[in-house]
Amino acid sequence: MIYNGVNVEDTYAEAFSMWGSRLVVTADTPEWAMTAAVSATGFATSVIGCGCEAGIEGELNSTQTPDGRPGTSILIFGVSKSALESQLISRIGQSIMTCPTTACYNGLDEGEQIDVGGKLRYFGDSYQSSKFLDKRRFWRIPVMDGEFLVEQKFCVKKGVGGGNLLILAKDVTSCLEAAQRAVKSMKKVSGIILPFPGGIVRSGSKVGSTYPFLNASTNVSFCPTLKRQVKTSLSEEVNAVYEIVIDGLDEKSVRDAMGYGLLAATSCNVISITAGNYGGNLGQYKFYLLEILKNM
Amino acid sequence: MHSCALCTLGKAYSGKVKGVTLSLKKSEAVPIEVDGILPESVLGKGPVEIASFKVFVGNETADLGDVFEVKYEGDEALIFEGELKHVKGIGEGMTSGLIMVNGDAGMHLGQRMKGGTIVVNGNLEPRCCCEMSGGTVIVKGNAKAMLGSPLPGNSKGMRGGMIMVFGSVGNRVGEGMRRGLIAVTGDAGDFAGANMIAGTIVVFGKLGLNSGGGMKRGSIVSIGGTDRVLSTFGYSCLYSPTYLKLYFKYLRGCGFPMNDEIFNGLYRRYVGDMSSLGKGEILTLENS
Repeated sequence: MIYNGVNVEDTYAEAFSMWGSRLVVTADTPEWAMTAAVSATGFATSVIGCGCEAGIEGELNSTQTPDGRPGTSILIFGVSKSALESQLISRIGQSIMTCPTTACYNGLDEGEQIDVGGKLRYFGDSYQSSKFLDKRRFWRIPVMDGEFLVEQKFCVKKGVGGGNLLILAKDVTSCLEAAQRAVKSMKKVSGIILPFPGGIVRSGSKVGSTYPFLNASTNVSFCPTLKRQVKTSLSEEVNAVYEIVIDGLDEKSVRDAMGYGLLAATSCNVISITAGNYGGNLGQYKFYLLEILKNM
Repeated sequence: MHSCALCTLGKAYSGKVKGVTLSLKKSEAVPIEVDGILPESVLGKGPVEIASFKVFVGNETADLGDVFEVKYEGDEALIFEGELKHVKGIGEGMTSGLIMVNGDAGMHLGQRMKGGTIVVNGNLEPRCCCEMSGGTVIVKGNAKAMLGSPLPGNSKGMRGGMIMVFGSVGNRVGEGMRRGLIAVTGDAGDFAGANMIAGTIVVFGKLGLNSGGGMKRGSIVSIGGTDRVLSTFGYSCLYSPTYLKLYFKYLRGCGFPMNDEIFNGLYRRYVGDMSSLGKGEILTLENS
């Protein structure tokens, strides 16, 4: 289908079920809340290599946080509850507790509960104490600038990981411009993150490789430099491809984000927009591009 | 972070509650004990059946209808009205629902209460909310001594839930408290939080003497400060506890007076009681 002069392929993005969590990080200033959030979501682009996928959902003002301070909302996704629990403990313990003036709260109202603050509290070396307010337990852990406050239980729920768009253009400049505009537009949707740097991936991957020790490798059919060497998915005029990966707390959020991304990218100077899938045999979710575009 | 109790409260304040009203026919010095007259036992029944419930008047039993005029308007709340100072045990052992008391309430209100909400549009006599373990009690007046304390012979007082007093409280508030929150807009008498095991007491006015004597854990917070902190407490530091902001935001939503100085101010932390476990704290607002 040609939309706004851009070819939107009749295909779908194949996405997977993942466990998701939302953390509300607060601090004395928005800058420190953001610093903690950036640190906690660092090196979390893909579960394959990082153990989880994480990103910043948005900034929160003082009316939106439990303790009335400025904050940041972050989403962290894992392949299983236990993997996510382990990641939350590590990332809150190493990146948020260590950051000046911060506190960390559960940001989801529904889902299964996992114990996070209840494990981090032992850092208090028996001087930790708890507070119980409105059916929620919080741990006060003594630290060098006062106390780190962390909620005992964090909710985790089944979410969607791996929604994606592939933007194909004649050169890097126009492709990146379109991807950036798409990212900016997609970030308006709450409940989603774009876990890659700046929301954009250049090293899209496929399952498996020619090497037996590697379970993922470069997506050869979308690499312009491999035209004539492999079976390519790129037309002659395409010289650059960027991918945007979307993780969301539910299917609708991912669908909405993809819709905004499609609208933004098709308003730019690009050749084609497609999506990555594995033939429909691996993922639980299929996001059809034309259907999404039609409903926008 | 608003609980269902607070939603109920909002409705109660709006005056839209339709319930079973028990109006005291005659105020007497003889105590009337209404334990067992609870929303869960009364609501959903007809006025005749309600009037046949038994209560103690002094050492004799009487029909509820002989002592109170029963008026049925709906099933949303149980409402007590009249000069209720000698009416004891309102909401004792209550597990759910809403009780509204329009007038001063007698001793043992909310004793061993487990859930639900009691709103008192008046003052409280001594020994109310003793050993309560859940639910919310809102007092739009003053409360006398031993609010949320243990019953005689016991060591543990309030074990959960929340008491909000929009007035002052007497001596020994939260004595032996093990869990929960007591918030007071006015002053507190002497020995607040004595022998406290855990939990939180927030006093927006001034604390009396000997607060926290014998406390093991828990927090006593005073915005108005205190004339003297017990010598068995040690000054720890001056800081702005994050958890207090959490409490203050919650309490602000419940109608407690709050300003930037209270919310973001620095608090002097005293730890103790060193004659006991010593893991409790008294926090007073700096310059109070």
